[in-house]
Amino acid sequence: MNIVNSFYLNIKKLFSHKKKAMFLIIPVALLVGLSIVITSEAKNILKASEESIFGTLTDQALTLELTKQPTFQRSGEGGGSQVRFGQSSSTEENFSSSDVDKIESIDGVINASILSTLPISRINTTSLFENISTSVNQLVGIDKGFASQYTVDDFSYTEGRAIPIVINANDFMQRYEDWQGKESITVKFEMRRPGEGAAVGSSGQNEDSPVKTKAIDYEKKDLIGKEIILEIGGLDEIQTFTTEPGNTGMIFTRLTEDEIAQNEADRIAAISPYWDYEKINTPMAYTFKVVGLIENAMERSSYIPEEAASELMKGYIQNQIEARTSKTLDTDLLNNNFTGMTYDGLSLSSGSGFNVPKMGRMVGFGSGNAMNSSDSNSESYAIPGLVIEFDDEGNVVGEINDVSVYDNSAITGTTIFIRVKDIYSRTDVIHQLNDLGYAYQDLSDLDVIDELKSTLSTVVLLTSIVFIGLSIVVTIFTMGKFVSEAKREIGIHRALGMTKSNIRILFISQAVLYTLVGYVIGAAGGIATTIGLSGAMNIAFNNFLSKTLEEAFSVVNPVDSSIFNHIDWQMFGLYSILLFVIAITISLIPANHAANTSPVEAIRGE
Amino acid sequence: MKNIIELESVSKKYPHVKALNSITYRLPVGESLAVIGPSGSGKSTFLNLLGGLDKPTGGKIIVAGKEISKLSDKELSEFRNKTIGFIFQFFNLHDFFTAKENVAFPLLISGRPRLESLKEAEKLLVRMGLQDRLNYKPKFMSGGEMQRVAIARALANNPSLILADEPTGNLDRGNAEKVVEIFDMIAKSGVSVVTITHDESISRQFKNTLRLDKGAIK
Repeated sequence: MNIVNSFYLNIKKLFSHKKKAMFLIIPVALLVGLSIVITSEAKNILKASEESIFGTLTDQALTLELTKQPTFQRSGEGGGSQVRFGQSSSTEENFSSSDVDKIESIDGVINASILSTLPISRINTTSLFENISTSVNQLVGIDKGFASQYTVDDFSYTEGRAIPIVINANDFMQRYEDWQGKESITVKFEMRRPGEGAAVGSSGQNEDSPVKTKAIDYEKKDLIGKEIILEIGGLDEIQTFTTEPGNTGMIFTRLTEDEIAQNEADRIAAISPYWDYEKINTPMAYTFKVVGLIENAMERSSYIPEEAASELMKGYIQNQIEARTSKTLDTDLLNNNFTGMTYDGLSLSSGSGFNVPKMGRMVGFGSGNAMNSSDSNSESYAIPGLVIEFDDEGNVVGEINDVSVYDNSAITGTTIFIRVKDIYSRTDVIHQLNDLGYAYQDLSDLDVIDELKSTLSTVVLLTSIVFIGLSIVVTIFTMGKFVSEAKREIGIHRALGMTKSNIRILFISQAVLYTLVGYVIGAAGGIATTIGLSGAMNIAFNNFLSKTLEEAFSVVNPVDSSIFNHIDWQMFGLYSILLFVIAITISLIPANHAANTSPVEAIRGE
Repeated sequence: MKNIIELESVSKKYPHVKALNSITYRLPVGESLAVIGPSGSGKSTFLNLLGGLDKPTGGKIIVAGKEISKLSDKELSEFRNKTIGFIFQFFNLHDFFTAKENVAFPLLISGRPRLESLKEAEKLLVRMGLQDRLNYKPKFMSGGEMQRVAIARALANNPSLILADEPTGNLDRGNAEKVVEIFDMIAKSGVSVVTITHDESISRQFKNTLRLDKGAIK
């Protein structure tokens, strides 16, 4: 009897004995269906993880952040260096272009860029949080490549469109005054241990101070994508109190309305001869779009594209130049009465006393700008956009009226971003950085990538092993049962002239047929379930992201549900082949047993 | 060929039983035989040996001119398919086949195309008076109808010899007589019939009778 007739007989049997046939069909259908669902969703989870988490981690792992830590010298002791993980130590000046050149010469480094805070003194907004004024304390221009660790949105600058900004949550602070009904408050001096810093959202403020800050509550999802107006420049707020050191602490004294008004009048009188007061006092408004959020106590900067930074600086300086009257500003005035950015012929800095190269001393509010200051105690006003030139000895030379001074100045800073070619180069680059004297401790989170990939691979492997094992067990068990229940039938077949080989083929074809039916049902069910589950998987995965990983990583992209409706066709094909190979080979055992059944005993058995 | 079956000193021993003890017998072509005897006399063993379902432990069996004791399993299977037609006491029809498919089955085994086999089967069933039961499954037929289907199946490949094991054992009197009539018809067409029966009245209707007792001819 040929194989076609064997299948014909088994099809007839299947329709006649459906319940019995289910003993093999249902387990096969379940095995196939579950295997498809498990392996497909495992692969989809891995892919979703790569797109959302791993992509971020990988981006982060491809960017090294090298930071200089300022050092403190105790009297009588030699200078030491502090090493903090992820940072380099140095007692020298900031990173400069020569450091960039050295680092970019390392094999595996694509590019390096010094992070330099824009020397803009006032950047405020009331559109981030309704009716609350907040400031952006450090704005830095960065390359698009470095921005990818913070955002997946478009980070390019296009004139006329909102400027993308990755904003720092440490700036979400509201400043207010609380005088507790007093006119004067003394804030006692407090000691803080070296290295003791503040956590995100904390002001580090003494609780007695009348000037207080509090953290603003926010939801990240409400901020991402929001367009805000940043006001850049403008004169400082007229101070509403005075401070002077007392014996036990700093004395804060409230000014009266008249005193405040007088201070403003004095300011107008001081500035008006040299600048259009209204123009210089009006900040420039720019539209930004929040594309990312930094929630890290160690980082203080907000980032915009470096092209936008250049445009902002030009606008900032240009605004001051346009507000300028024809009256000459002599060096005395620049020394004593007006402060601004400082330029030493090499680099431009904020002039607030920080990041002043080659000067080596701190200057602060109320004191002169320079070494050649003739009156270090006169009232001075910070003029937004003013650039004061210094010579090599630290003497004021004059004002600079060139908007491109920012673009032409050397960038220096305490942090360098380094982009490595790929994950494999990372370790080698770090070694070479250390060899060059840039101590860097690798704290990457790459292990989590490998761990998750390994876990998901294990799931697929275990599924495959269970699939093979159960297929074998199910086939042997059910086919053995079918053969033992078909003894009489075998006897009839033999009596009517079927050979042992015919009997063997008959039972193997039965196994194949029932497996095929189970396979079709299972495959259809598995595919439908995988697609049907995609919505739920997407919700579950994104919930997981929002509740866990978004707390840890700056950028974690939500994934689209279409990722979860992909079928792992490769494993599906493999399982299909395995299933039928097992059905054919394993059913040989009961089939042989059937073939060797004595026809006499089989018939007698009735 | 003079004799349809020839047994020469045929014995069949089982581990603790001697089922047949040196039987010698010949049945001429075209004649029918009833094998009669008490339970355990070796009747079924005799039939199984003739049909090649079992092999003798001693002696020689020649059926339709072939010494079946020397045939391979494949040759025996072909022998059973084309030379022998089996009829069983409990009919032994496949419950998943219709009457037509049951009768066509031996033709399928022999390699005949399915449509042709089914056509042939239909003709046989009509001869048996079962034209209204062609597409019925066994569970929807009476005992007499099932046995007639079984007889039609046994005749499907135009065998030389029909071997029937208690063919009327499960039938009422009326149906039993019908079966005997059919056997008579078959014998007249030149096909030999060997039947086992315990019913003397049935055995009397066969030309030859062989009595067995404790494995020997009585």
